[in-house]
Amino acid sequence: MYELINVSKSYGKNQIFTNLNFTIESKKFTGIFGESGSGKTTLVSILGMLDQKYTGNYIFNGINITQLGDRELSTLRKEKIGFLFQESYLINEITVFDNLLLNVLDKENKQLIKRIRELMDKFAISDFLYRRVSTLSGGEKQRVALVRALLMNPELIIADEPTGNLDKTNSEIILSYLKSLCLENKTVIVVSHDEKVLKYCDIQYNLIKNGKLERCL
Amino acid sequence: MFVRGLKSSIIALESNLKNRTLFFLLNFVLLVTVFIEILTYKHSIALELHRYQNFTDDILIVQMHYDSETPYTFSSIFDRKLASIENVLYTQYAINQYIYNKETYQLSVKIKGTSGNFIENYDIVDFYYKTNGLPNVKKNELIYGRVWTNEEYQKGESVGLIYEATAKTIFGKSDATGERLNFGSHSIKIIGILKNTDDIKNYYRTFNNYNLEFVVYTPITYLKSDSLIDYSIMRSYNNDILKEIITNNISEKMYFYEREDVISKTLDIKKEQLSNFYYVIVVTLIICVVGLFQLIKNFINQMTFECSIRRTFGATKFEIFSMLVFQNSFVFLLALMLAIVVSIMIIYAYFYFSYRYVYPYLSYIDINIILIIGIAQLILTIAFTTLLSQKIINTNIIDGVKGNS
Repeated sequence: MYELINVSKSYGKNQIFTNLNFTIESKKFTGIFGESGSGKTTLVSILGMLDQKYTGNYIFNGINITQLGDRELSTLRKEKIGFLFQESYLINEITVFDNLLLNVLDKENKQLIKRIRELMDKFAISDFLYRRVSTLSGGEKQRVALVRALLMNPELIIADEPTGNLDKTNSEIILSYLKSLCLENKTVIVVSHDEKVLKYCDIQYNLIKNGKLERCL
Repeated sequence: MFVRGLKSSIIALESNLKNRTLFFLLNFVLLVTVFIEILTYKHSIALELHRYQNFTDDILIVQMHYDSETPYTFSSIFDRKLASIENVLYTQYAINQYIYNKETYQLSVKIKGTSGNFIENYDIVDFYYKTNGLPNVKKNELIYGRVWTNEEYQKGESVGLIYEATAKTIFGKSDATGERLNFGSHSIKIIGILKNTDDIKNYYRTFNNYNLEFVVYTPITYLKSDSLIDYSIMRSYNNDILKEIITNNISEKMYFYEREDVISKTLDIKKEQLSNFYYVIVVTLIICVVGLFQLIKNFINQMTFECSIRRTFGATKFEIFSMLVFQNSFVFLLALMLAIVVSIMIIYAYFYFSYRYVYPYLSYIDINIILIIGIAQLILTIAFTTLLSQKIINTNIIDGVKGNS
């Protein structure tokens, strides 16, 4: 379970959240919907431990992460959370393999390489492993990004508009896979304004303009 | 964690390749510019030093009448033997004009007291000077340049003529016109080169045992602020030595400078002349440091996305910091090593083909300064990277990933 307790966040005078209390249930597909400017990305930053500049507490599976230092937070982020964004955010000049190992740094780790190959096979991109990212299509890049998100077998997957740049077919593939992860005891949070996501949600929240979350499902 | 930073640097060094290449090339160009300037400066000093390696004799200034064909003497070794230069005032600057085209002159010379057995007090001395008593010196043959002009003569410009042998020894070439001969308080511009003449050599040797190869002829007006005293003055005092000199018709005003003085003073003056060049080096170094700062700033800005991606997937702030330091230092070191090699090759090739005679003296070049500057720049690279990477480390990760930072 992942809990935000009395979280307040502002950018200068612009208050995004005021005493936000919010719980994400484990092993569920949670959809958070909202219009542009409603604070979706800020919420992703907080949930993904990418932003520590807020007040309140964030309990991550029993760990109060607001009391952790950069090293512990980085380790948690690396091992427990997988990120998927609207853009693939891969480094174009290097290979898929190097992108996947950017922070793992162990090219000789056989278990890891085995997992990379399994995931690449699963998303039908195993031929691209040693190709430069710049040579891949948008859909292929997004699948590589998904492999990167799942590489460390995280317990929480946070996806920020994961289908924003994909066609219907690729969107379905990605969302179906994310949904299937819940069956593997993983928690999925998808932040989106895409109605296609709705049918995959176990839990649905609407983020409204004043930074309040409204549960719809 | 530091090792992770190093590994992290290596694993994706080819990312941001354009920026890294630009960083490398600009560093390389800046360093080569500085190194070549420094090496040129060092070589110029070595070159000057070399010029005096074989310089074994004292140097002799001979002050001449401006036409250079009939050198007259108005004062000579009295300056060393009997009276000090400082104690004699010469008030008749136009003495040559009286002498020229006339057989006999009556001149007024005001003498300030001197030492010893010479002139005791201020005095007005009348004396006679006969041109038919002047030495019959052979005509000098000018092979490069020119003799001083009447204007230079009137103004007492510090211009001079030297013999070809002197030019070769001191400047490494026969045509040394335009060069400057520095010694004592003098900096004489060489405007003409004379062919070596045994007659003149013998003439000087007869009286003084001086090596004629190290003679510089200047206008007689050049040292007018010093003493200019005619040996004829001595006639009034019935000095035996003076009589002897008169008898032997020594007819130039001569000053002697010892070798060590010539070398050390010349090197000092050369360094002073090169001080402008030194400022150029300093300015280039400042540009280099400012350029380095801007390069690192741009490079780190370009790295924002990559660093944010790394942070998103678990890199610590320290890993990002050490990655940036390693990568910048690595690229800088590559540029530094290449710059040292290329600079030395360029400068040695230049001196080999342009000043081959000085090539054996290149051991005078101390290249430690290049290493010192290289290491200093490396330290600055690390310092600037440390300073500038704080922004990237503390930026909002999501903003960095999405390119909003």
